[in-house]
Amino acid sequence: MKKLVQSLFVMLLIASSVLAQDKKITGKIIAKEDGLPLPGVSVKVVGANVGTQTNTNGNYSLSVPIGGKLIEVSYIGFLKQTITIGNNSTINISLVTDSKQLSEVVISGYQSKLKSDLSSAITVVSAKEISERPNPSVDQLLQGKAAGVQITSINGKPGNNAFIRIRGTGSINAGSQPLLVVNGIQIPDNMADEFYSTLNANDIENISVLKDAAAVSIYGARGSNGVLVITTKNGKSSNGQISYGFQYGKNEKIPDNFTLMNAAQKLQYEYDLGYENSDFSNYLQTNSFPGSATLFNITTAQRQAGWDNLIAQSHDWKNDILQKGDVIQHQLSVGGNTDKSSYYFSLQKYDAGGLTVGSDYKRYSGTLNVTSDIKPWLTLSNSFNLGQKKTNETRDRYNAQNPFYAIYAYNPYEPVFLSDGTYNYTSQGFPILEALQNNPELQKYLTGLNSFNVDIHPIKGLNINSKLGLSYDDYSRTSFIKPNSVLDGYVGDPTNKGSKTDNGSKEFNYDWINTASYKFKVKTDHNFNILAGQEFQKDQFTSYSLSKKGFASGDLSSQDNGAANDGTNTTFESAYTLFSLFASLDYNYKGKYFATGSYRRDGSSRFGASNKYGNFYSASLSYLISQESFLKDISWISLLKIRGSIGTSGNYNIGNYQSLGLFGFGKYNNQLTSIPSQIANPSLTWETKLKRDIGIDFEFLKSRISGSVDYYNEKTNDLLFAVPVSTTTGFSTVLKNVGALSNKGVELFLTGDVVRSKEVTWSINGNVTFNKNEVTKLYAGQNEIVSNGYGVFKPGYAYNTFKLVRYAGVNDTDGSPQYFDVNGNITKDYKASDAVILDGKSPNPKFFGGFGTSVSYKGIDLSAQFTYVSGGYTYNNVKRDLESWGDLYYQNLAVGALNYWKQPGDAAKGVLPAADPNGVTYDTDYYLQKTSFMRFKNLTIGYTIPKTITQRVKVQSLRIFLVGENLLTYNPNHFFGDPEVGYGSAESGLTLPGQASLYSYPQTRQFTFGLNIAF
Amino acid sequence: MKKNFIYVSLLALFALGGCEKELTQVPFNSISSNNAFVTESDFINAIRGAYGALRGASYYGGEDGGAMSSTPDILSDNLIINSQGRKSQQTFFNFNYTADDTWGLWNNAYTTILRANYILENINKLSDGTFKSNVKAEALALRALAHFDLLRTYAKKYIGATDSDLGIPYVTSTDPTLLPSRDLLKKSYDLVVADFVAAKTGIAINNGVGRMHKAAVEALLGRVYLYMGQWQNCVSESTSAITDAPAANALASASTFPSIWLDQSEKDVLFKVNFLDPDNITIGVGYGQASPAGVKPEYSVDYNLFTLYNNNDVRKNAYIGQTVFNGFNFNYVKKYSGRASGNANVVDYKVIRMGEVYLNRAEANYNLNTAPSITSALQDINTLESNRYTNYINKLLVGQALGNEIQLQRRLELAFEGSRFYDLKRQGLAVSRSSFGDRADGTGLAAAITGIPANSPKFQLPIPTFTINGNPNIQQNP
Repeated sequence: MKKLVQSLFVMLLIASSVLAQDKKITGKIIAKEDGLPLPGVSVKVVGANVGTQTNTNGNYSLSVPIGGKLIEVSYIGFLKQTITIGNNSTINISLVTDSKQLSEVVISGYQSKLKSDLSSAITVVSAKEISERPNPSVDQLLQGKAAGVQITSINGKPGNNAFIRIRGTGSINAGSQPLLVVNGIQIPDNMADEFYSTLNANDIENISVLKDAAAVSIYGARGSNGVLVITTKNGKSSNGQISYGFQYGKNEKIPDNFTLMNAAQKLQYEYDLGYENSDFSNYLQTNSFPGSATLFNITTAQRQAGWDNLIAQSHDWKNDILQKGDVIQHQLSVGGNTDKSSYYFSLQKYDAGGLTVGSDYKRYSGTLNVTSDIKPWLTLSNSFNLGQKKTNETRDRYNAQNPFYAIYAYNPYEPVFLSDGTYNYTSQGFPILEALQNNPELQKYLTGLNSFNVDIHPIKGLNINSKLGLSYDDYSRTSFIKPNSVLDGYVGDPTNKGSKTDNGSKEFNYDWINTASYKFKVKTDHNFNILAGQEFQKDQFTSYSLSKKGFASGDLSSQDNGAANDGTNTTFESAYTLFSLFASLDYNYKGKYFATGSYRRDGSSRFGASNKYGNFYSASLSYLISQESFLKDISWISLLKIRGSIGTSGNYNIGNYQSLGLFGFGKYNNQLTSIPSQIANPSLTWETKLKRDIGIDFEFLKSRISGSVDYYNEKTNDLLFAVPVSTTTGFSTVLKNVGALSNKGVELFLTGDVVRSKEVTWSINGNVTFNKNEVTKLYAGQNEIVSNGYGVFKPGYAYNTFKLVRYAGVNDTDGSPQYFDVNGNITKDYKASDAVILDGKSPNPKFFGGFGTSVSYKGIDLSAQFTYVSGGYTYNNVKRDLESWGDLYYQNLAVGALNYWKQPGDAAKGVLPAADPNGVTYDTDYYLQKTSFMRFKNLTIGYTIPKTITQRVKVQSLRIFLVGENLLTYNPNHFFGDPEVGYGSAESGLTLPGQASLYSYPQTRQFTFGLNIAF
Repeated sequence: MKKNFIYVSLLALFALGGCEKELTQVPFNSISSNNAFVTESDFINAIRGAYGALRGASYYGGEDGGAMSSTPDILSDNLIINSQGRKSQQTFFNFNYTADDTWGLWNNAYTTILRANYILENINKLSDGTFKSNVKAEALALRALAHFDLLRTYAKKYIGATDSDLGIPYVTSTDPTLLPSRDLLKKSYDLVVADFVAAKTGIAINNGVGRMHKAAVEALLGRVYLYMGQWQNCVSESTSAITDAPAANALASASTFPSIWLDQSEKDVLFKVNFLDPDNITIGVGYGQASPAGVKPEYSVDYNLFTLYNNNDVRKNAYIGQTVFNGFNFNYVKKYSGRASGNANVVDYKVIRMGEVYLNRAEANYNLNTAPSITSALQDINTLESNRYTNYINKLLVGQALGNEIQLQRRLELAFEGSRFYDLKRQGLAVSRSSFGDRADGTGLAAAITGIPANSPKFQLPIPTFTINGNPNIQQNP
């Protein structure tokens, strides 16, 4: 911290040093179309390396050295102008809008390029689209923002990550998350999630989503799931401004779309099923009924009196367990630049309370980015990001240790406390409210990245660059089952009460990248850009786990306070390396015809001795038709480009050392053991993806309408599978490269500026992606692989297509459940072997995307964003429980469970089977539900106080705003519960995205108020 | 000049290629398979590793998802699923298992076999002597035990089997590419016997009950002969076991009997699997968990079985506890609730006990049905019962009454020790549950599925689908 402050002062000093200059010119720069002032426009004296930028009012002031004759004015989205200074001391300029592509710079691979020069599929998400949102996870903020990118929240826990799928799920066992690149540095896959949740979204300049081969092949063995390139702000477009932002609001559970039984309904249900609950038994005992009295042999009036007694003490457990969490954010940032240096500094504190006691998220993060032109041929820059997040965790399991299970399972007539003041264990045998106090679990992550960059440009066109990235992630977790807590009573050592685990890990990775690029022309029309590079990555991981039991009190929790070891204290260590060579060539003719090629050779320590190296290539072509003279005259076409690419990339995301034959060590009866632990597979290698893409980029009507359409076809080969070996060998699987799957689809992205006037702007945007996923090959002799008991991988079907027994409705004579056997005949006999593959029903959506609009009128701005997903299915275990068929009579249920068969004729009404406490609610397709939904994701309304007022108090700008997140959900298929399903239950192993719901942390909605002030 | 710059920078770039040697990375916690058997201590570590495999999560170390300590009792008439429990192993209780959802003992047993085979394949790296023959015998005995557990679970009963009935693959190699078929049932049993017989000759008498030793091997071999209906062999192996057992492991008296279940005495125990707190294996969880507000049982003791225990039967209180949970009284199994100190539900698993050896011999002698053998059977029953009941007076039983008493004592003695299902199966009997409920007085929710008929195919558990995926040569049970 001290160092940060010192560095800041240094930067401020650099910023304020003024060099002697000669002539001063001032002026105002506006947009020609609407006359609005343009802030951040670069104004440079040609040939003198002197420049400035306009302030928020579009004004600039520049000292022109002797001999300065021309100024060059440039701004993204506008045509560059060069103006003679002459004798003028005031030069006002109006800029004309340009095609967006011709001026937008995009970070692609190891270089930045003009968007118009690209022949690849890249979507850029700008700072504006992700800032000011009260969600601390950058990955979640991308939901609905980019065509081809499906974002699904893992669950609603504050700060939790999301599943990111770029162009479908491309792997089954080797990971499907994209590669994350931050400020040019490849982040290890293990750490990516922590970066998404510790990076401050307000510090991000933009995020490039690299999708096709032309964009990702240069990332070789790590590129096949796509690449997200995050670039943090560098101060180049700021003007020494000091900004402070504040947000405050509330986090709450999105209300359920179903109703639980009230006490009267539940008691009647129990009676009908022949169940006397213990609260009623206690009532009978304490109200001097004879010992033989039961719920069923007393009079109706007596029974009703007892019920009334229970109804009187009933309550809604949601009110007891759930809370609204506070969301508070403070942020300070300073950005600026001088003629030779630029800097950006920021600090943020973000706190979000969770939905229960014992659940929250707290984060500190800081960024310092500095760039300086040390010599005319040398630029040094360094960017540093550090974030610490601290979360208090609740359990994500399938019992009452999970508060989000308990809110449904506890019966309304069961009191929180017994008459003696102790916690009521309830029918679930566990008081969650006690556990939230006495079983705390705390997790901390310290995540950082320093990227140091040397750029040497000795001659025009040549750039030699060396970049060293150090990324670090420190994880620690403590879990304390306090002595004498209920859970301690269940699982602890009665003679050594209380147990405490401290575990964690450290991961350090360095990524050293050396590149040389050379840009040159041959005969003016032939433009070349060649790049060659080398990269070396080494990752070192260590972890530890310590456990003690026997604590004197719940206030003492360090390991040395414990009496005895609880379990084995362990440490673990591993390392991997990746060594790569790569090159690319870009060529264009007259800025109209473009061709690129790339090549990368990767060697990885993870792969077998006979397959250490892999080669990846790509080629692409594009044609910027709008640069042709025959189209230049058609004024409504601002830009038109056709492009196509083909190439390969890899996925090496498997564990370390998996190719080796190993003996591991352990303990038996406190003595050393050695055991065969892994079968050798010297030919183990990465998955390879062949990616093909054709696309059109367009901008019409002075770029008022712009967008792109892509068709892609991606095929993953050498799919890694844990291939079963004969279990008689004592092993069950060996990892082999055997399968194949494909993703094909179309993406469309459109924006439109409906109104672009001086007073009012209104724009709309939208994107949609249609994706079809299909497993095309498994290993030899293998017809299908079952995943998690619900789905299968089978050639010809989508990833994880459901395989379930089909429910055939209620038998009208006796109310029993009926099923279809494999042949389609109705049977009362449930056999798991009657499960059939339900073609077309898988968690993969058929299409998804987002749309939104933003309006501004004078100082008022409004933006609204929606996301949608359609066509996926999820196995709804919550519905299976809460609308079960009588076997869960002892817990609370939804009112839907009352709707069961009672007499012949009922079956026609589509009821549940007759409620049977001895029956089993089997898994059938009855509980498989479509998860299509549309969510009003974000609404932001802001008001910027007029400058005329704020400037009186030396404030450059002041904006107040309101943000709402997850405001409304349209759930057309009536999915029982929230239709956005990521994890079903982390601790029950239901972690395949969207496969099954099972009481994981619920999605939240937020309302926050915010204020941004800049000096 | 310009070109030189480019060439120099390109050269500099590729000169950095020395990182290649970093591409070979080896783990920090394992060694290559080739270096695993060099010294004697490597073999000691490896044989412990083989014993450790018995702790497999669906084997003797199973908790609530298939376990030798509970599953064979759940599959029988000894237990009733508890309405307050987590409904663990309900699939077994309802006889609903399928190849996709079956007992995973298969994998754990073959893991044990693999570890034993590694030792046997490398055994000649040791020089001849007592160390070598003892380690070799231990490995053989473990291999035989694991194969036997597979046989009695997945194959048909031996008595009455045809020559074409299938057993299980008897694996004697570590080659990971082998795809063995199921050996014939009779051959499989013969190989189990052969391994035990070979083990018997080389093994030490005093390895301790945490390892195989002479009496343990003989006792297990006696059990195998009982399953095979080879009564005379069963009698002689059981007799050898009783003779060869160290005094510390002789039949427990009624007064020491309860301390066996707290691991305070090794009386009666011939072979056990050790569980310590650091193993994080809580085998008792399969039967229930204690809370400050009573024990939350997964299964209740069947009320019919409960009433078969007389009050002067020391086993009644050693095996069964009474609890009030959530307002209801239950009889729960407390055999695995844990030691006097240490983590709850952690206790050694007793694979074979002296009590069983007497019962095996009594049953075999009864079936030999000669005058001296009947006398001997009655004598064994009286010996056992006089060590289980307080104030016991010797019985005089003959004929069917003696046979029934042997079976009754077997059920009472070995209840909740993974025996009942196999005992019904090997004798060709049905599983036939009482209609009592889960509560301590026999009221409450009764079993929905009351049993399976004699010789039902359900007696052969399905082989896990996963196994057949990896080896299509393995024929599934019908």
